[in-house]
Amino acid sequence: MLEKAVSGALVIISIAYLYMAKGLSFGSASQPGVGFMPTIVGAMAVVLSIINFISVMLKKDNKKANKKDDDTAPKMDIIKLVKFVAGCIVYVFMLDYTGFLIATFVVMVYLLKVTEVQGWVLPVIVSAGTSLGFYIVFEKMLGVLLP
Amino acid sequence: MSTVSSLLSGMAAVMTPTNFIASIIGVLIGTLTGVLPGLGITGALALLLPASYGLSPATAMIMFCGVYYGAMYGGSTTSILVNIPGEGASVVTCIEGYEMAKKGRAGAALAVAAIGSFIAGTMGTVGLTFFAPMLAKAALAFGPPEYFAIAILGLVLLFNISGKSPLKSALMVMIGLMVGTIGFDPMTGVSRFTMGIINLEDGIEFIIFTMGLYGVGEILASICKPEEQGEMMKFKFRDLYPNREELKRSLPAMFRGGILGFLIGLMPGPGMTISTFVSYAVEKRLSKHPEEWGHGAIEGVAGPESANNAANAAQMVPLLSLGLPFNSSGALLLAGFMIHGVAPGPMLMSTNPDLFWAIIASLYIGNVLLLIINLPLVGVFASLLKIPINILLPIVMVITFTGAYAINNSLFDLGLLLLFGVLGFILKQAKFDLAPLVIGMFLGSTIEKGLVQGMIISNGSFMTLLSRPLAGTMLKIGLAVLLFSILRSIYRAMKARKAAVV
Repeated sequence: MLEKAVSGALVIISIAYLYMAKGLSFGSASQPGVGFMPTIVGAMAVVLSIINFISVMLKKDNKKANKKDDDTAPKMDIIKLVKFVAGCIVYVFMLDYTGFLIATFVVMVYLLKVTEVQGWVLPVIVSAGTSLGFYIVFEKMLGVLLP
Repeated sequence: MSTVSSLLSGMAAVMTPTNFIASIIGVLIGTLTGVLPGLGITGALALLLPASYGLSPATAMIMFCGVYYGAMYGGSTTSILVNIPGEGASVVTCIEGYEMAKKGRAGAALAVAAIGSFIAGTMGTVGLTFFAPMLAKAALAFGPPEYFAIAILGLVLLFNISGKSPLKSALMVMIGLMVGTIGFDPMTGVSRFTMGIINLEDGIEFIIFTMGLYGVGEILASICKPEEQGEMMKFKFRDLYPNREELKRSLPAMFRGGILGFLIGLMPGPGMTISTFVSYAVEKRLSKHPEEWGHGAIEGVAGPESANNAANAAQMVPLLSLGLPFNSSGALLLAGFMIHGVAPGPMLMSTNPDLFWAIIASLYIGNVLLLIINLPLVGVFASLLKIPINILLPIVMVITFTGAYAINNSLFDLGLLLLFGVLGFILKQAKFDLAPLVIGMFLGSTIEKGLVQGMIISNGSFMTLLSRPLAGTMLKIGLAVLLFSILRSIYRAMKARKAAVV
């Protein structure tokens, strides 16, 4: 299912890219414009993505085999994934507002709880150590200007 | 004075206490920045340039060369341990190195990477010592059509590096090329596909792209697997180093990687990264254990890691003999030379032979120092995998974000990193291969510049491009390989259909 969805999305992305590339000057063979290479690449991507989409759609659905695969394949914890990604998004915004040390500490505690580290002492110690350790290595030792 | 006696006098100059300490500091800083994702050689040199003002030219150059080599040694560490390539030249190491780590052979992979880096780095330095001026002139024969041809040949040879679906791989290459066109056009400076986002005008940083796809994508994949949470790797001390069989298999790959890396590294542009992909493809083809590829084949670590170090040495050839940097780290090294009043080029060897030979000697000594420093560190790095995975994942996530931020000091890059991470995760789950996507993005700008300039030079005639000896030969080889691949996949598909009918 995911393979079909991604293949379909790639067709749409390729068509959108080719459409935008057509808005750029193609030029000529002796004087290529800014759209020269994007148009060629976009056209090839559209052709390939359509062929791929058709071949994925035409793949025989062997329901029994799929069911067997589903039974043996590891179950995915999508809720945990969403929580983890949300934490990372918040981290990017927090870095701007609170700076590296506070943002890293807070988000580390959150991510460690998302990954089900038991209790509070270990997450707090690991978060404090990580934020301080990376701050010292990057900012103090390597001279990187952290937010 | 002969080359050997000049080299010996250079060795004596490096072995003075001040210079020797500078070399040690250089390789240590280089290793540290190589280990940390994102910084790489360019970042390390940029950070160190202002700190070198008070040093004598020879001491500063020796330290810079230590950093230059050290960063390449350390680059493989995060690729092997956590599937995060610190720079482009370490992307390929992820493929087999991380698989080895998952099987408890991280130590062996790290040790083979260090030994291979030493052997190939020394081979590269020998090449630099004896053939520098001659090779530099040959490298200058490359013009835009040749860049285009070599990039196309590289794409054709490498697009299906994993050997999975050729159609999906070709599509991924195209998507990679599309990502590579985002930002200013390299020829005219016109903004393309930025959708009004100013931060996209400089294009997408290659290392952000790869760190996101591989590193963040892998972290997200691990987060989804509940059965892996809380697990830690168990291995004994003797598992930390390669066994006899692994060393026996790695040594030929190291030497092949060394030769390939040196030759490819002589080409202007992204030689180091290309050399790793080519070495991987060559080793895969020559391997007597095809079933292991994609599941932790040690030659897939030994070859590419050796190739990138030899290419690193080769990129010093045009810098020292012509004063021309062929990549960004070479340009920073050149800036370091200039700050200290040293102008590398054809005159350096005749006007300042002591300094020239001290620099060359420092590369040999730096290589030995790096092996001495890195082999004991293998145990330390591999032990990191003993940390329970549910604690390790958030730490790796934060270090990836911090390293990515350090590249351009940009929060926007962190957003892109996360976006590519999610993209990498989804593509992997949908059975799309990431390597062709990375190769396409990486070679995109070289192909575009070469194609556009080549078409202008040849007045729009593609036949003129084909008639150039070097470019024409490479393009014809590429065409032949492409035709062969298409015919082979048609034949295989027909054979599979016949078998299914029977």
